[in-house]
Amino acid sequence: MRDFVIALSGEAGQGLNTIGDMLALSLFRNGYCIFTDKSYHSRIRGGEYVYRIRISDSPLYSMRQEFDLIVSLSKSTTISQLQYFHDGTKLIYDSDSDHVSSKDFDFEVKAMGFPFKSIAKEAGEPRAQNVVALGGILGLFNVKREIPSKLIEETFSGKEEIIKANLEALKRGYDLSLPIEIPRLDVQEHNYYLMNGTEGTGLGAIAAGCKFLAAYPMTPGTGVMTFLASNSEKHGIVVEQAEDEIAAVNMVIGGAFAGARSLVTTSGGGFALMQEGVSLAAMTETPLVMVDAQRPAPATGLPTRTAQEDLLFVVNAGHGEFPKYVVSPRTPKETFELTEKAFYIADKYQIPSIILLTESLVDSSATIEAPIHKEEFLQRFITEGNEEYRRYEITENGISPRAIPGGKATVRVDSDEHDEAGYITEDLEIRSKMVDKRMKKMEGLLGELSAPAKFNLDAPLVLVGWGDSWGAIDEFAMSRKDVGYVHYSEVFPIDPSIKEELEGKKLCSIEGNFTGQFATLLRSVTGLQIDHVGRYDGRPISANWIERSLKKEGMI
Amino acid sequence: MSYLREVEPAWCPGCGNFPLRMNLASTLEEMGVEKSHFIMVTGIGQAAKMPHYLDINFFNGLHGRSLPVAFAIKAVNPELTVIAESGDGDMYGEGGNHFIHGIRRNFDVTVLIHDNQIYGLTKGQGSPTTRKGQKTSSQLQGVINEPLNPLALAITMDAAFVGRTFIGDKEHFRKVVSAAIKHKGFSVVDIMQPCVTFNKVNTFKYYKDRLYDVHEKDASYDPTDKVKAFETALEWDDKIPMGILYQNEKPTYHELHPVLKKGVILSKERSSIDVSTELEAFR
Repeated sequence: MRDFVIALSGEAGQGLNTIGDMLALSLFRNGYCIFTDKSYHSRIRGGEYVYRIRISDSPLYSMRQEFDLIVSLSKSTTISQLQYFHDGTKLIYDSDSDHVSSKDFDFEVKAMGFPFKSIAKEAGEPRAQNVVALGGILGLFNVKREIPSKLIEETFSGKEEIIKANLEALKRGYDLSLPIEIPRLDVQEHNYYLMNGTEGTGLGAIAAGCKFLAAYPMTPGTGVMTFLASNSEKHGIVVEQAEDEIAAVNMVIGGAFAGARSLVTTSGGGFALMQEGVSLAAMTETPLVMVDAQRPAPATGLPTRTAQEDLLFVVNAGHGEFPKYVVSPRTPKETFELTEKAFYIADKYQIPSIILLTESLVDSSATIEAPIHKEEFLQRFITEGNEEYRRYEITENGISPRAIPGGKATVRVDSDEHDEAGYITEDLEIRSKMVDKRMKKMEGLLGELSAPAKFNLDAPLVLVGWGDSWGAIDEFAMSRKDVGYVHYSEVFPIDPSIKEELEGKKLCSIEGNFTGQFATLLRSVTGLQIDHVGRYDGRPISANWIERSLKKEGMI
Repeated sequence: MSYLREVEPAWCPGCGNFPLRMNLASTLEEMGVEKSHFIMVTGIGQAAKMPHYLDINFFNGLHGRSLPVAFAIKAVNPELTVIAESGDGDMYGEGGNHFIHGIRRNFDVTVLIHDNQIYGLTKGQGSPTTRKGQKTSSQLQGVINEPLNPLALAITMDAAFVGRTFIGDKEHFRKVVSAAIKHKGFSVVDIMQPCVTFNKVNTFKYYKDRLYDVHEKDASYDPTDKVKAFETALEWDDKIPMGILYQNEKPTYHELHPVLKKGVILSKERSSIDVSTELEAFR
């Protein structure tokens, strides 16, 4: 496997996101495999913005921290990125702007300045300095020029003068013929898709038939809300921006109760506000599907960075005892598939289903195979009922037939403890039966789980992971003979039978948190002893970070 | 078609909720509201237990959160007639934010607030509408906070329908509540009632002596005059206005919403997308 990592850096507001997207898509359409990530500050203008693109000939699902080429449009971001230079990293800067000089470095840097601004001005559009840079990089990778030209035409559709100038700027960028060596990567026609976790989750929700979404904006969970909003008219979806997260979760419970598949999206702090709603869904046995896109906490934490810190909080969400289902997809493909499954499980068992994402997963575009849509996940398990209907009928598997209001059945739903008909009760015999009924659903739920991903379990060290750390763990384990892994994307409940396979092995969890939350969870179910190495600096886990960390701990 | 359930409600003897229950059931019966297409959404409190004593569809949710649930039920199934009902503590205190934003949404709902100016179920603490100076189990020296004026607030926010009635006047209750249910949009009815156990100030007699109907007092009262309505809503102490204080015919959430205005019923919709076609946008 060969790869090359490019970083585009500058200040927020310099159009780096647009250019980064164009660069990634052009490389992808030319046949390369792409993985991107974005590092930015929680502000609208200024601050640091770094768009990284990892280019390879087969799909990868994690970033390499040290890049091979950085194209920087601002001096301050060049300096802030020096920590990610390796011996061969090349720097390209805009010689028309305030730029770095040799005195800014305490090591030798292979730097080249190009007058991006003057070139753009000559092309007729002074603001197109980033398009000149785009052309320079694409030329380096022999990307057919009609690919980015089409993207420019789409981006500036209707503005002929601007298109003309940008196309000229692009050409002049190609003409720079940057004197940089890149590895030979096999480029071929492929059948992949380029998608990030936000898009995968949003598309999965639409495919599952989600017709109602309520949310209060919170980074990095907002993307799923705006994705569905932009598809609202096309697919007949109501997206309501609630006054707060408490309203949002109660709305989604109301929408699901009335019969529409519904979704609420948020991040950790907003999820905290929704706790009573999670408990309400459990007591009323209303399907509730939630997205929590994790960021570093406590409190406001680091809004635009990544973490895996909400696992135990989400698994234990809501006061009282009740079943729930929690997924944490590994890739954008899995965000689609597990979102569909989350809707299905919520409907089938009438419980909360929580989709646990991370900032790195929602913001990173990856090269994926087509997500698998399952028609069976569209089953709604809604009954018509009749005059004798009892919403909380005691059944063998704990699942009561669910009717929705507006039909033959009278539907009575109560957050108090209730009898089978749904009326409030203080009869403590009924109370025990209702607890038994609700908890009974856990048994069925265990049978719905897929096995975790496993690799080389006979290795001297077996890593344990969950969620979007898979790309890094897999890449690391594949690169050596002495490391295997077990990796989960359905994180609650956990099938305890995994104990037999892992007993007696040296286990170490790799997680985006300080305490080793998944290790704690797995230990509580299996009794296995699991060491832990955690990353909690807000950056995503990468293969070389795992290598360094395990060496430091003397584990490899 | 009776709206009553044969059951002994768990309210104190003499509670204002008893006549409210009878008045509400008979109003719904007289209006001919179809039971299968009627739902009540409540929060928590003595008032919020109402649907357990009626024979109806209901969602008895969390304290203060009836409005978000009611909104979504109406959004996904506009064929349902939706009443959100709770007490003053629930709707104006815990749920105050939803009250404000529910008015902004102007979805078609009738909001009935049992306003006895005290917390009952938690035993006698001051509520948002308890008057200044009143001594309660948690404000032993008297309430020092200003009371909320729910009708003035609703009028300021341009709620579609703003009314007040009294549990002691069956005919008035029927008139105001049925008008609120018929009115399209967010309709608020503040219902004055005594709490015989915990509020010794705002008694049945207190209300009886002070409440007057705005139309009976002045036949030319114009409920579309927002400024006049606001001015009327500020009255308290000696005379307390009731009746239909304010009304407007602005479009509802459903009439404005780009998806809902087409008449779709989301609760009946199922997934119909072709995933492979959608995926083409990601190449």
